[in-house]
Amino acid sequence: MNSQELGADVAQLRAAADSITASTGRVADVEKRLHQLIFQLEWYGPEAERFRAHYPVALRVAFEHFGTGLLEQAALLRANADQQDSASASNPALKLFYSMEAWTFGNEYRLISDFNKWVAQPLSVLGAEEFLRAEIQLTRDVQRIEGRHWTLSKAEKAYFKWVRDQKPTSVERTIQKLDHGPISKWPRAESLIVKNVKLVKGAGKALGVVGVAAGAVSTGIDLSQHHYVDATFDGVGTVGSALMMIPTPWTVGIGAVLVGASLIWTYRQSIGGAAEWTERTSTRAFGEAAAHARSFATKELRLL
Amino acid sequence: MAFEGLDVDGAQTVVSAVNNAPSDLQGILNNLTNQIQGIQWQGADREQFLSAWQQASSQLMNQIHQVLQDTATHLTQEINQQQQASAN
Repeated sequence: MNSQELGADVAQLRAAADSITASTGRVADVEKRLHQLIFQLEWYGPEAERFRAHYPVALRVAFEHFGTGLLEQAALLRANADQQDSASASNPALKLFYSMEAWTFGNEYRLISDFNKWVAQPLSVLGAEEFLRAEIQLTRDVQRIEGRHWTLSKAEKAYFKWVRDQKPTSVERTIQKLDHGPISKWPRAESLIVKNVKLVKGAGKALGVVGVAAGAVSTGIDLSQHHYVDATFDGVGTVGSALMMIPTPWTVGIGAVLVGASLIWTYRQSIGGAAEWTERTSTRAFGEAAAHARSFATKELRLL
Repeated sequence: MAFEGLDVDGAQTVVSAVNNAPSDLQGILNNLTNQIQGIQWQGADREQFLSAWQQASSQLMNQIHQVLQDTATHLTQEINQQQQASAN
């Protein structure tokens, strides 16, 4: 796969990020040289002490800040490269976008941004994982910067903490969901069921009636269409639903088995049909979407 | 020999090094900018990054330039005072 056709040469992105990181060493060398010159200077007395107490520290902080700023840019470049990698590898929508981008590159920039904004990005919702990965990489880069620059000022540390708080990783998000999402509400739901036994039993009976009625109608329809196997399973489901309305362990157990058998048969029949329909429809829809996008781009190009 | 006062020649070397530091740093940034602009990269992300890079690099240069300038100015004043004291 030619990465240039897909928006960016990721090897060049990473090489530039590495150059930026390496350049922080040269920046540190400049500071080190100044530091040495200042401290080697033959200068004694209170003025000299005041100077050495203030300026070398101010220079150290300023150079550290400069280096940190560069490392942030390197992290951004790496995040772009990772995003490009994952998007190119597994996201058909972005792959289509980047191939069109390569095809129409030049002064068609507006068209590309419009396409990206209105077509590719909405389609790439399914590829949200890639964006999460880029986000996690960014967080790791920030942590690496912190690890290397242990002399960061309090304000900078506070900033990085803020960045991390604003952008929790997917693992942290999952934990948050588990803590505050529907799963933690299950005990409450269970307790509600215990407190409302009559209501639950009533709901069970109502469902049983619906099951019997639906099973009977389905059996009738299948028989009228001479689908005798389907009719048999619908009948089994109907009997099962009826049995489950009788509140004894045996009737409920046998009823559940019968209803289960019926549902499995229906599921098998439905899923086969649904799979075939989905395949047929999605193939046609993707073909039409690609043709439409290409025609749209060509018209725009002529206008430009 | 330790003496109360300032080695004027040594201090002028420091001032010169401090004054040259911005051009050293600017050289580093220019090389990086050339490399970044040479990347085969098309699309909105490129424009967004280039804009962020230009903004960050000029901001970083301005901040460090200010500190370097303060250092050179202070040391130059010390040199002038030392020269006046030596002349008297």
